[in-house]
Amino acid sequence: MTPILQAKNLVKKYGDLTAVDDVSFEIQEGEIFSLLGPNGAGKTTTISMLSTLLTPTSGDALIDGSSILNDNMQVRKSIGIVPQEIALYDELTALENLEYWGKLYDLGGGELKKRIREVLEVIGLTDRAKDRVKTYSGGMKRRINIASGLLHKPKLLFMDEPTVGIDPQSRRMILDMVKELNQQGMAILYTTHYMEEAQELSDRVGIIDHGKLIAIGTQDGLTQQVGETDSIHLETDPTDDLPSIAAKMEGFGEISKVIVETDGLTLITKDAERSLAPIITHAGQAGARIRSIEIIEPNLETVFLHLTGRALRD
Amino acid sequence: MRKIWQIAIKDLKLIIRDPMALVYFLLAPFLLTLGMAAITGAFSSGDTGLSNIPIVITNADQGELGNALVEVFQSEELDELMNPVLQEDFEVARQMIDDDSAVAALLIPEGFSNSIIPKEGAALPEEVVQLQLYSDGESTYSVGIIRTIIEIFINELNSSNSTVSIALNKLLSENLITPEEVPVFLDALMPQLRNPENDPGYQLIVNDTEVERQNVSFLALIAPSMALMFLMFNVTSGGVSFLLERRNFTLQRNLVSPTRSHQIILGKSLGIFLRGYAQVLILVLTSALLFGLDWGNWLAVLVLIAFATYGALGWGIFLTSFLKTPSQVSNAGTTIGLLFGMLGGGFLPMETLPEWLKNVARISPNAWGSEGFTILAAGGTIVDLGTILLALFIMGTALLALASVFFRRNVVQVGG
Amino acid sequence: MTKFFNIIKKDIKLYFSSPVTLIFFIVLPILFTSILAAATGAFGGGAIVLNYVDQAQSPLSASLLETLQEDDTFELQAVELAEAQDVFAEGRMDAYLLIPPDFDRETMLEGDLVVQLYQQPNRTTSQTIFQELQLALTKLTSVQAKIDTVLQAYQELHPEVSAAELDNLAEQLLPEIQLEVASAPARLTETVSQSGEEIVYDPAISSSAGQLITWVFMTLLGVAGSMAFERERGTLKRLLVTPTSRLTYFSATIFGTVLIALVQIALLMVFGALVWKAPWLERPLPTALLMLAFSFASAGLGAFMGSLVRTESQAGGIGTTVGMTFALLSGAWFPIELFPKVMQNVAKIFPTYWGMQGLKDILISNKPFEQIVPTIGILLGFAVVFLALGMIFFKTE
Repeated sequence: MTPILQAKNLVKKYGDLTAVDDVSFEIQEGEIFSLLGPNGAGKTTTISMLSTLLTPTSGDALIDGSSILNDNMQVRKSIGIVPQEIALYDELTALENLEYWGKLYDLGGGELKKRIREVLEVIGLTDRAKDRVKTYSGGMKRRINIASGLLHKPKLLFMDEPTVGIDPQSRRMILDMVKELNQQGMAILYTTHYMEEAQELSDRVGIIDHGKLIAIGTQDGLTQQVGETDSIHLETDPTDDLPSIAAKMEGFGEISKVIVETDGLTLITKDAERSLAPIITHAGQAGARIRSIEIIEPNLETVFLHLTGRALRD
Repeated sequence: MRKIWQIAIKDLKLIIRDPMALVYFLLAPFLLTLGMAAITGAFSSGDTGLSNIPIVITNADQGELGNALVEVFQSEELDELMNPVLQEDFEVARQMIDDDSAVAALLIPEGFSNSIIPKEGAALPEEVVQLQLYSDGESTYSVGIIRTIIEIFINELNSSNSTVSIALNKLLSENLITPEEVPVFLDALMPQLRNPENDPGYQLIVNDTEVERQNVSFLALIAPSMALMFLMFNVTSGGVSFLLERRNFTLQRNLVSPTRSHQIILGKSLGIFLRGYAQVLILVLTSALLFGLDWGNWLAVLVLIAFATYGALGWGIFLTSFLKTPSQVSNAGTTIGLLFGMLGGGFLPMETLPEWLKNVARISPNAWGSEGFTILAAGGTIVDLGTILLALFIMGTALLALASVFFRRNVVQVGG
Repeated sequence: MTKFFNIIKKDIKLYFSSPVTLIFFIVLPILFTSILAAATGAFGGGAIVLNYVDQAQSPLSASLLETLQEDDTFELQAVELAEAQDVFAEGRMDAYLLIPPDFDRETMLEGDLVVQLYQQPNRTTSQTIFQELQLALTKLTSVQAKIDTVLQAYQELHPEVSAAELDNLAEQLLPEIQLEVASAPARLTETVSQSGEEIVYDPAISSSAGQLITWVFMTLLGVAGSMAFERERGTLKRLLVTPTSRLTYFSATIFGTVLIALVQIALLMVFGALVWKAPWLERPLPTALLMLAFSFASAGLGAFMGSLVRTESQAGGIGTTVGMTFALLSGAWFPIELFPKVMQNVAKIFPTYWGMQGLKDILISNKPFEQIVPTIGILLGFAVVFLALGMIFFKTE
């Protein structure tokens, strides 16, 4: 099976700054692939290159067999894009926006009308289609923003943080929509900094930080990479001297990493349940006044923490 | 081509949906033209800027000459121009000037007549009795006219006096007339001299009939210039929409669709061109319908609007191509729009500009355009527009070419 | 009070955050005044350009032109007949004078002297040109005409005199009489209202006052823009949920812009005084008070507009429209005395009219301060009314 997308050693530099550093990955047909990483990790730049908006400094990508460097018109036809921003004309109605974008994708006549009806149904905005976009709520604008990328039935859909800053209800709706589109056979490249979304949606996940793709694989595969490690989060009294406590915890028992956070410490250790009691005692001796304790099973967050020593959202 | 058209239509829809844009592009030039027309008296019957100039006269002389001067101001000839009021007390008259209820107060002092034509038997007084004019410093033009009328009167008076006395002396000294004959001679002469209907010795003909018919009104001059000034605002704000689309990320969305970047640029430029064209056309049509302005040969007018819009489009796109933010473009657009507007005769007739400024004005589509419009209004046809159309075409093309150099780098290539 | 100054400080920082501001603040006003001055020849004494076609090229036509040039009313410009006809027909020439080929002494002696004047309708200078031309022609011909009348009367008394003798007499009399007329004592004195002395009126002052009023007015209407800007950004809401009253917000926003405008006024006036010798700095106190009142009235109007518009771009569009229309109609661009009477009265509803009037009263007519007070009062009245309207229509989003 040929992958729908093959990114090969993509690099984007702005002067001295390397925004995307040697990124390679593949997306298979019908797959949901998430790029997970904190703000500023290089997700949008990567998507911009893949969608032919930016020319890579070096590297290339093949989308449905066409190169983003040499055959960008063909690439554009196979992809749909849902930008992070609401890229719509506020003064036009939803219907007019959809018509406009559809025509730019060479749709027309009865087919365009049919597709518009279909996507409006999918996003559940058939009733409001004749209202101007500026009268919409944030969540509704997001949905039209998505619909505009779906009209030409792309084989591969890029969704760049489509759930930023919206209410839980709309977010739920968007996640369900992504799943449904995927079931219809659309491959999706989904970027997010929400671990839960990547976890819920993705077949495979790429973790990106500082422009580098630092891990890639299925969720199980990634968590196994971390091994049998759990993390223990200790919330401590705000007045505690965290750096000195952290120093004392370093190397205790099977602790492999100590991360200082604003509200306490996160400790990475093997088999948390067994080693919990001695760790707490030791922490108490080190001067920590513990408020609460949480054991976190291995997940993408832990993987990120393990790989970078930082939390996803900081 | 279909996509270019799509993009242009979308831009037109956007501007029609924005009521403020309509205010700015249609109402504002319309109001300003209307204002210009109103203040230049295009709607009032009199055909000069000045009429019924209020003047207060205090005739303390009550002699022959004083009365004659009052009569001048009350004469039928000056009926429309002057609105004289008599006031016995000069202090009151002066007060009227201070209160802005008249522009000048004229005092004909007691003894004015006698100081020039002595009473019988009396000698000519040593002292020169002067007319006194108390004027409002702000009403230069009105006061100037009053002053001129008085000067004409004085001049006539002086020449009559001098002529009579010198001629009489001459006739007497050369014995061509006897002293006994003098009273008879003067009795016959004086009425002749004072007769206002006596031939003034010259004839000043104003506007022979041929000219009256052409009658290019001030409004006809100002209206095209105003339209062209707002055309500049319009196209630069069209340029702004490029950068706004980038800020709102719709430009990026256009770029990732299977549409070539030159199609997008052409499409948007076409949109800007069409909105500019529509604006000028609407202004032309409304002024023709409402004020009966005759713009001349319609075909030529349509062609001229197209070329002027093309020239202006060049400027708008050129500015957009190297400026970075929408507000920079709109500020630069307003600045250039106002300057070009002024140079193109939007505020005052272009003819009054000094030569070097007229040459500078040639870089603006406004100057060429308004020259074209005046040619057409005066009955010219498309044949007479040759140079103007060529100039506008070259201007638009050169600027668009320059713009395309900057454009890909600055506008279409999207960072981040 | 701290809040008040805090808001002002923020507004001023925002205003000067972009260097482009300086274009509207100082560059354009100076540029415009200069171009207008150059165009109207204002700083050379405000001469009206009079085009002429001299087909006669006779001593008499030369002396007519000389007479026309004598006082500084006209700047004469020779043109070809064909050119004059074309340009005039296109409406691009206000007037031209045609001196026909037979404009010479002989024709004058026969009493058939003709001059033709071509004028466009609706031109502000028509009457001035017409009257001045009459004066010049009178000066040129009246002595000859009077001699003719005198000699005619003489001939009636002595029918035996030959025509040759009369001609001879006329020729001897002419120079003598002309000399006497030229040396006749002045019969007219003029004083200009209030100043008590004759001042040389310079239209440049009036025109640069107009430009000053226009540009400062535009700056002050900027209140609308800054209110819309804050509303769009949501900072207005944020400000109004802090314990700050609307009145504080309103007055501080107005004050901030007024301060900016006052700086602009000061710069433009100093510049005008230094470069164009405009009398801006001659009566500093009344000028300052008047401009302060004008600033509040205009900023109040800006605040009122700011209450009505939604976006900054709306504010910009309406601001330019209102600014230019008001300035035009209140005589900031063309002398208001040239407007039809109706329009002169209509102008009184604009604060710009009172600003303009006040400036002229102070600096051109030199009126005493008591007479400026009502103008200042009216401007402050505008300020209060606009502020109240603004508060009533104010909305946060």
